Amino acid sequence: MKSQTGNPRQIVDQFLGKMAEPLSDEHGDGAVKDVHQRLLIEDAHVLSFALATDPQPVRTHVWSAIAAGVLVMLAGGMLHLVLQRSSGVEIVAKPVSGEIQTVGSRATFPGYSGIEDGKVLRAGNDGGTIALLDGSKIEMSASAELSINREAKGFRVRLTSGTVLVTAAKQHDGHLYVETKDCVVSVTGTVFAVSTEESGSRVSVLEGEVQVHHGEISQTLMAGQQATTSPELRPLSTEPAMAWAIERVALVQQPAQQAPQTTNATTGSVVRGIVKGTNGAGIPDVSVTLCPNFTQVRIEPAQEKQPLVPFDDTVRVDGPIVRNKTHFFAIWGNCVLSTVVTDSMGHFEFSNVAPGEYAVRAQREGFSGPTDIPLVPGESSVAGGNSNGIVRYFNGWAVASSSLQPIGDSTRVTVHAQQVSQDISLSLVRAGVISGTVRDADGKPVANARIRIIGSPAPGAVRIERQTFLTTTTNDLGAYRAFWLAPGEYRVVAEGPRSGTYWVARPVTAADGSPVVVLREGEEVSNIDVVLRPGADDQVLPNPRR
Amino acid sequence: MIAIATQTRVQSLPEEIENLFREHSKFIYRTAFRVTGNGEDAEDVLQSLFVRIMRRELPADFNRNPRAYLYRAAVNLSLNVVRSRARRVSAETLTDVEDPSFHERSRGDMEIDERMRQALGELSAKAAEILILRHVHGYSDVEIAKFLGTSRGTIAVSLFRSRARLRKSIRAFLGGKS
Repeated sequence: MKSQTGNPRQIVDQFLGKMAEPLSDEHGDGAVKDVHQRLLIEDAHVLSFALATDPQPVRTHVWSAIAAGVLVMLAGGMLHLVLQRSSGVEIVAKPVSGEIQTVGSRATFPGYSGIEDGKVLRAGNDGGTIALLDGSKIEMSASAELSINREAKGFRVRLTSGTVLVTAAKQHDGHLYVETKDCVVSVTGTVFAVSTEESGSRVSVLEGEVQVHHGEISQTLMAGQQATTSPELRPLSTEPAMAWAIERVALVQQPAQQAPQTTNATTGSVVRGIVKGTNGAGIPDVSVTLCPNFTQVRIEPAQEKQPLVPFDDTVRVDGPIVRNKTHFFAIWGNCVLSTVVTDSMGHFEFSNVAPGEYAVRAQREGFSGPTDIPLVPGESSVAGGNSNGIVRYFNGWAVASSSLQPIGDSTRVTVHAQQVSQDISLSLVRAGVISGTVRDADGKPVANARIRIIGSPAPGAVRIERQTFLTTTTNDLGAYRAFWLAPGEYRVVAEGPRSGTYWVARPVTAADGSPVVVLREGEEVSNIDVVLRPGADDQVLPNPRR
Repeated sequence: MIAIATQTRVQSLPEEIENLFREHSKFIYRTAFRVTGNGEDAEDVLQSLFVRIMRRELPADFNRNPRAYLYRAAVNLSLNVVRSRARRVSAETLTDVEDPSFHERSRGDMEIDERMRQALGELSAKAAEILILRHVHGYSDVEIAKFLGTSRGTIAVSLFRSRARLRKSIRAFLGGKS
């Protein structure tokens, strides 16, 4: 009080003067870069598949489409198409370039019109390009003919003549099928060409992998491989008709290898297993997903702090969480997945799995992953406050998000070539619910208040944004219900609906008898009520468990 | 039904967000750093803002003037941090304030600085925005008026009143201490 000049005017002037000082590099560029790194991870999360606890799958989808490199221009077109659909005609695609014609009609499509479900299209002499509603791009060779049908889960392109080069958008809950008279190609996101001729069909994969079904036989084709349904067809690389496709994409990095004929092909192994609950019984209807070539982030114990490098890199952190263990995380947002569903006994099976390293995930609505994942929120190093912010971020994500999933021995599988089968066992626990009501100081329910369910440790931490597990809003009665939460400890934070006021209910720490909600398997903890007061310290009303 | 494609690496954010970040992040960070007084909170403010953008939690007119919106949000978030700190920190020590220059000064100075930040938080949002544009970013009255879409006279009056409020606040604080 005395060291600084006691005159209020001088104090204010000095303070304001200091505000104008430039920031040091450490506090300028460096910090901004750190934030950018974290946003990249956030982005990977946004990219990821909708998981049980993700409240906004639609938004996720839109963003992933953009991030996957689909032309932003297309977004406008898609909006246009969606609007048209309300007129009763099912629009499935949109011409992008070249001359595209409906068979039987003379007029070509103007660029702004939509292509209807089931109509047979033919490309002009220079070929043409269309965009499917899901963002996939189909380039048609000269005079290629096809029709597009919308199906419950995705689109089916029926190629009746010519060649198409398909750049498939990442498929979320559906598939894109390209069908010829004698084979079906199913994809979730890749670049490939299909051509059909009298003697048979040919599928060539330029990037990624596709699954080809020919009669009873299924085969996985990798980049650079091709398959034909007839030995008479020549390899793609010597086929002049396909030169346009190859040139255009320039993605064939290795000479095309002749894949085994589909008629006698079984290239991969079988991966089978069971998903069990805590009582040991199999759980039906679980989506089991294999992620090939997953990117992994390794966290190693270390003394020194080092900034997080998001992909493929080792992260060194200090704090109690890592001790002498190394943890692996798969970043799910970065691989396109193959999924099967468990049967009534909880069994599942993947056939034709190519050799390699896979991460495995089991998901079902209302269930969550095993609780023995290495970084549970309760062990977070947040409270230490001496880390550079990354660990906290990481911790929140390790459990909060599908994009960064810890991989243990049970969720990691190596498929060896020539190995017939491999058995794995996964476990799930029933998820729980936290519910309650948000009221203002007068006891009136607050509608549209934003509720955040936060990992519980970190007493007093302000940086709640990083550990948010789930957000939801209150209904007209002020009630909220946060569901599909993994067992664990949580805090509940409410924020008022009015922008500008930014009411925050900040629960006091556990030591003060505060509401850390302990959620056990399959349980609903209700009456976690919040009172919002603008600008004041708010509190969460009694927690029945404390 | 298995189909697999290669993974794509994410090296940069979606383009429009990357552009926003490139253009405005330093401005936001500097605003947040000066208001909150420490790097961690400033990083949080910057991150929260962009997470909001990535989740499309934006007002409808965001694109009309992204910088103005981002600036306003940065000031508001920063002041929220300062205000919540007031409640939390009042009983604790101030050692978690990380501005390195603080270490060279006495604790009394730190208390006064923190008190000044709290006083900033007691200004109206608009007044705080104006004050920070002037003193952190060095904008002139005319520039501030243009940036916030208001008149030059309003700016001058607001700045005058804000300074008076800050003085009053610090006077009350010093009076209460001695």
